[in-house]
Amino acid sequence: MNDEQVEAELRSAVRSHAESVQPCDRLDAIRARTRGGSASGARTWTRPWVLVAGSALAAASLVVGAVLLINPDETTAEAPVADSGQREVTVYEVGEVGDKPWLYPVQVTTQDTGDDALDALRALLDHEPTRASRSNMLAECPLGGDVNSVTTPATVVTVDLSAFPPGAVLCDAPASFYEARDQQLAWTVRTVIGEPRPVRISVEGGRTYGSGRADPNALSPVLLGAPVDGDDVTSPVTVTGTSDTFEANVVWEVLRDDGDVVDQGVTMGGTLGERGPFRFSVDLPPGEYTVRAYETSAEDGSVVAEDTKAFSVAP
Amino acid sequence: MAAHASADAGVESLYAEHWVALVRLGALLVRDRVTAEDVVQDAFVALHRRWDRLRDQDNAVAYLRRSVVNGCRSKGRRQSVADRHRSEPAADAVSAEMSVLASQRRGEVLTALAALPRRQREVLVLRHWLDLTEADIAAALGISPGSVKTHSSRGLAALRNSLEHDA
Repeated sequence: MNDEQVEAELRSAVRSHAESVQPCDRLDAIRARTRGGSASGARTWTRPWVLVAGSALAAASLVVGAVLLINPDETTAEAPVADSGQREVTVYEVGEVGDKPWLYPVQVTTQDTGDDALDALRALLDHEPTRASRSNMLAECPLGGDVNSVTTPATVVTVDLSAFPPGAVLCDAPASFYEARDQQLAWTVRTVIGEPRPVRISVEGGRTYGSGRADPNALSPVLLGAPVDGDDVTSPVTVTGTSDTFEANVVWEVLRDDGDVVDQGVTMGGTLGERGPFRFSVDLPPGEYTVRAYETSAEDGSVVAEDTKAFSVAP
Repeated sequence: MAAHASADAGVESLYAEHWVALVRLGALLVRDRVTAEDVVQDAFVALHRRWDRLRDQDNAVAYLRRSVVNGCRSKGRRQSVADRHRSEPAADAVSAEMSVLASQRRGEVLTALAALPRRQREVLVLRHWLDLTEADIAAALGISPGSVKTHSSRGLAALRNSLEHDA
């Protein structure tokens, strides 16, 4: 056989097999996952869908727009007793840029009970966003109360929550934000167990809700790694991060605390769909600064992804 | 908002044009239609999310292909564990047409294709199913056009060996 014959046979086999596959229609499923971005006009992080529920019963029985019907049983499980130790865990908060919710990892300190996944998820539920423009969707549109347990066998991770506490919120967020909330859970679990297993939520061991596996596309396309918020560093300051942006471009600027841009530039990270590292260095006199790294729209120049970190440069 | 409406319209138009071909691409790479549909559905949702970051429709199609290949790759890693426990590893690749002799030969080709290293398989499938150029294959896989050429010739040589051995 020569190469042409092999190619001809291969082409025939590939085409014949491909054409025997009859895909089902999934357009409605795609629409369901992408709708609700902005039906009510420009949305800001005032979170208009978050309403304090008038009664515990309403809160316990209904989450508008969510798939899960919460078990109204208000029995709360006994929480394991934490020892005196603390640990660092990574949780994910949501920031809206370019009309979309993106995930940002944040290091937080929490009680160490000896159960890695449980500690991380409890820290996630308790997490206060690091800035006004960020949100913890799990706290604002909760799926349940506290985390009872997390089981991580080889296949599906199951997170069991207690039922809604009295006075919980009732919310009606756009679909993309429910997805961001599910991704907060999935990414926090993924960071603990080191792989993107599907996550299933149950409430008091009852009705379950599949929240999917950690999706790389949920992460902010531009993420700063160092310095971290509140760091005290010396000049020259090395800034690192990861990105997956159009043509790998990442624009950056360093702002003084009065808002003036003191330095700026463009660097290269990963291209769309292939997250990769970026790095640049800046000489800075002592003071307080914010570094901002972002991606602009190829179409109209608007900012479509960004991250910021505030730090100080020591004398 | 205009941006969201434009993403809706753009994604729906691409869906109409590419859904079937991309699911079939996925089915060639993961050997399971439903898994392929899941992967391609995720790719369209991700595309919608990133719509305003793509300069034109060609970029969108390239992004979809790349997402599908990446998605299949990660599904494939999980599937390979399950495959080791199957008595007929490439059973899904070989369709019901197997009863006919010509189809049997196609089955052998698909089995040999499935046994190739991942990159070689991806290059050959993109070339022979979607008729992509070297440059488009390189973009879909995130590798250089030179690597595409290398994977393609190695893949074909391995297929030839395998098929001659079977014949």
